[in-house]
Order: sequence, then structure tokens, then C-alpha cells
Amino acid sequence: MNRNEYQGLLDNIEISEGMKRDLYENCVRKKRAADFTFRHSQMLSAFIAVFTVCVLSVGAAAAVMTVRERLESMSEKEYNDYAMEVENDDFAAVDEGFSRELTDGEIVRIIKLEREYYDNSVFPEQSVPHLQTRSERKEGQLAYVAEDNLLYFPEEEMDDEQLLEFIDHDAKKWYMNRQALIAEGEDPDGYAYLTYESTPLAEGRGEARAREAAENCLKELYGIDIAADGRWIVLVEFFEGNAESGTEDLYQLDFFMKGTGYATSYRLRLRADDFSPIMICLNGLEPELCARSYSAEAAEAMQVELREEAIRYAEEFTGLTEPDEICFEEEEDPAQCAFQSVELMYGERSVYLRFRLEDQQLTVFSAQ
Amino acid sequence: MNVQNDELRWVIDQYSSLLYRICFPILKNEQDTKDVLQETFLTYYTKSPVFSGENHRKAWLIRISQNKCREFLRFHKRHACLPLDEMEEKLLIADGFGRNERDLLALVWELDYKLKSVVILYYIEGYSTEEVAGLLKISTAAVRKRLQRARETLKKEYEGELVYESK
Repeated sequence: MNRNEYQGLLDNIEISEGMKRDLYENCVRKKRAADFTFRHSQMLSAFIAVFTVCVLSVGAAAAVMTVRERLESMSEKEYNDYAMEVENDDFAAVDEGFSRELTDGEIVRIIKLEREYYDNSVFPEQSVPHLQTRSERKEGQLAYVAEDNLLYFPEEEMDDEQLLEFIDHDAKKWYMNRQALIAEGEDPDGYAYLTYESTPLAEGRGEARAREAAENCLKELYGIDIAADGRWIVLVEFFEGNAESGTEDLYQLDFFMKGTGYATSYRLRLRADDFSPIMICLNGLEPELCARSYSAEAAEAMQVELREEAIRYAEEFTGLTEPDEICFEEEEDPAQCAFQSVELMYGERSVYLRFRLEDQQLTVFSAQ
Repeated sequence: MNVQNDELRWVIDQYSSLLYRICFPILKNEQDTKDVLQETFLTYYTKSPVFSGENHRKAWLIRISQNKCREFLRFHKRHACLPLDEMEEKLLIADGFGRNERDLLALVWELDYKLKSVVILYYIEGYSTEEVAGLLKISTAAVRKRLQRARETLKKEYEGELVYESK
């Protein structure tokens, strides 16, 4: 992203003289903008009212309960606490709402514990309390504080119970986001990050064939059997190409398990005509955190083998052979190389690949 | 007309286009942008803040407008937003957008608003990370983190070819 390219991009946008005049006249008359005087309170009170009516008031968790049942049986107080938290949540990135960053060790343990939470109904003994002010928080307590809209973590690394509380808190916020959409008359399953379900597919149709092709690809590359493991949520979407810009029809497929998003997930894009991959991408922090690092010299020594692997993958996925040029990219921190990126040029086409050095696993493939 | 009104007129004349082009891509709606500007200038008019210089005044206005955008979006999460095409029709664009400019703006247009505000201030308005941190009252580390996230998002969008239309 080149700063010079963007600088002055909006310079030729101007405000009309009429709007300037309105602004001036309204200010002199001390007239508030209608949206700032009315809409807020209406929106907020409507939101709270809906949640108060919808709440099931069941209370404490039963002995064996699925996550879905647990979320649907929050107490009225907890339901309203989370409704307010979600309403106040304006963080671009989830971790901006935390009092400190999660440590790598905590993230790795969260990835394990969230599978226990979602798959085996291993729930925390307590829930994250919602406090109004910082002064109410006890030292070292994991708690949400409304006055600064932050989830406070203990300074010390969290234990398993606290991490389960964190996972539970995340799941409840996710659920409340669903409820907020329902309250507004929208279908939460229309939002990828809020759905419980895979995209329903009609057998023999393009989407179903794309899913089958993608699953085969994941099995071959990573040894995971999506079809045999019911925990995966698979979203399939068709995108129409644009002749003007020279793009073609494609399917995009997302494979993920319900959780915080730190665990490995996959995104593939396949050509609609022959289901060959245009892009394969491992997402989540897990692939990054669990990768072993090497020195720049060791990484460079591996380039010979990676070069052959890159050419092989490019040929397998695109049919392209004999690249004109092969460029290995310098990693951001050469002292700690865990991955190596390489770009293969074929005339006007190019193929980008990223490998994990530890096992030479392909983590990104993208053909242009 | 009193001195205060004269000054208000001058400030609106001087800074309304700047605030408009910073706020419009965030709010993506002309009426909302006008509301935010009105609230910003009204705050200026009623509070009559004292500034150490013109840069201070400019920074203050930007900061207030960003707070107002934030306040606005916080309570209007699903307010109708205009697609870029319609936005172009609504805006007064002196020389029009070139193809490249339009493509760049299309990428920025779809960013989350918190990322967008730092991208606009840093990349488009040319402020340093420290200045952006001061304007938005967040830490320099948070600005860097958001810029990094924006770069990653834009890179993904760019590489993923934003031109595809969902069916």
C-alpha cells in the first residue's frame, strides 16, 4: 500500500455552497441535527425492550447441555448485560476491546479449550461478570467493565477456568449479535460469521460440486476429512465474473468450526467451469503460532526444495509450466522465519505461494 | 453579524470540505455526514474553544468530527449506506475520479469505519501516525495496529479481486 498513491485521493471532493450555508444557519440558530437528538434513545430503548421480552429466564446451566441450549437459556440479567455490551461494541478488531493482548500461550490453550467447550460441552463454573465501573473490579478479576467498554484480563496468564469463561463470553456475544439481527427483522444465517449452519446445497448443482472439489483438495493437501467430521461449517458462495475487468465466474468456500476464530480455518476459490483452485488459504492464528521459526540462513537453504514444490503446485493447480521468473519474498522478521513466500511469473500470469518451513506445508496459494 | 458569527462562517468555509471528505467515506450517507458536520460546528460555536494556532484548530475539528462519526455509528449500525457509484453522483467532484483513483477509493470504501478513519487520516490526508493518534485520542500503537489491519484487508481485497459481484 503506497502512501503517495492515496495522498490527495479525496482532495477534489468539495462541499456545496448550499450545504455550507445550511450548516452556518443551523449553527447560528443552535439547531441540533435531528439524528443526534432523537434516534439514539429510540434505537437503544427498542433494543433493550426486545431483549427483555425475548429472554427465556431459565437460569443456571443443566448437567449436560449443548452450547446452543446454554446460550438460549441465559438469565434475564445476563441477557440484558450482553445486549448492552454488544450495543456498545464498536471495536474494529476484537482484541481492541481487551485490557491487554492475549499471550501466544493463552491463544494456543484457547484453541484447545474452545473445542472442549463447543464439542464436549465443557463449560466454565462461573460467567464473566458485567461491572459498571473499574472500581467494582477485584484485582486479577476477569470482568467486563461498562464504563470503558473493556474486557479486563488478569495481569497474569489466565488459567483454564478463566479461559473457558473468556470463550463463554465470546459465545454469548456472538449469540447476542444473532439476536440483535433477529430483533431487527434480519436473518442472522445470512451473515457468514453468525450462522450455525453450512450452506444448504442441492445435489448435482454447481455449489455441491464445488464443495466436493474443495473437500477433495483439503483432504489431499492437509489430510482433513470434512465430509466425515460433522463439526465443520461450510459456506459456499457463487461470484459472477466481470467481462470488463477480465474476471471469471467462481465459487468461494469457507470451512470453519464454531469458536473464537483463532483456530485454523480454510478459504478456497475455485473456477466455476472446471473447479480448479484460484486461491487456497489457511486462516486463523493457529497456523502462525504453532509454526517453528528458523534463521534467515536456514530459511534460505530451504528455498531450493521449496522452489520445486512451488513449481509442482503451480502446474497441478493451473497447468502452467516453466516459470519465467521465481522470486522469494523477504519475510518481515528475517531473524524469525517460520514461513517463506514465493511468486512465480508466467508471462502476464503469476502464482503466489506461501509455505510453512517446518513441514513445507502450503498455507497460501493464489493464481492471477 | 457579531464577531463570533463571522468566525463561524470563516471556519465553515475553511474546514467544511476537509471534514466532509473525511467523514463521508466513513458514514457513506450524505444526510448523516451533514448531521455530523452540523454537530461538529455547533460544538465549535457553542464551546468557543481557544487554540494555540491554526493547526490546533484544524486538529480539534477533525477530532470532534471523528468522535461524532463514532457516536453516530455506534447507534446506527445498520443505517442505509450508499454504494460508491451513487456516492459519486451525490458528491461535488471538481475534476472527476480517474479509474485508478476510483478503484483505490472503492477499496477504502468497504473498510470497517475504525480502520477507515486511520487510513483516511494517514494515507489520504497525510498525517503521521503520532498525529493520527492525537486526533483520534488513541495510542500510536493502536494506530499502527489499525493501519496494519487495513493494509492486510486491502491487500486481501485487492488480491481477491473486489470486482466480483455476489449473486
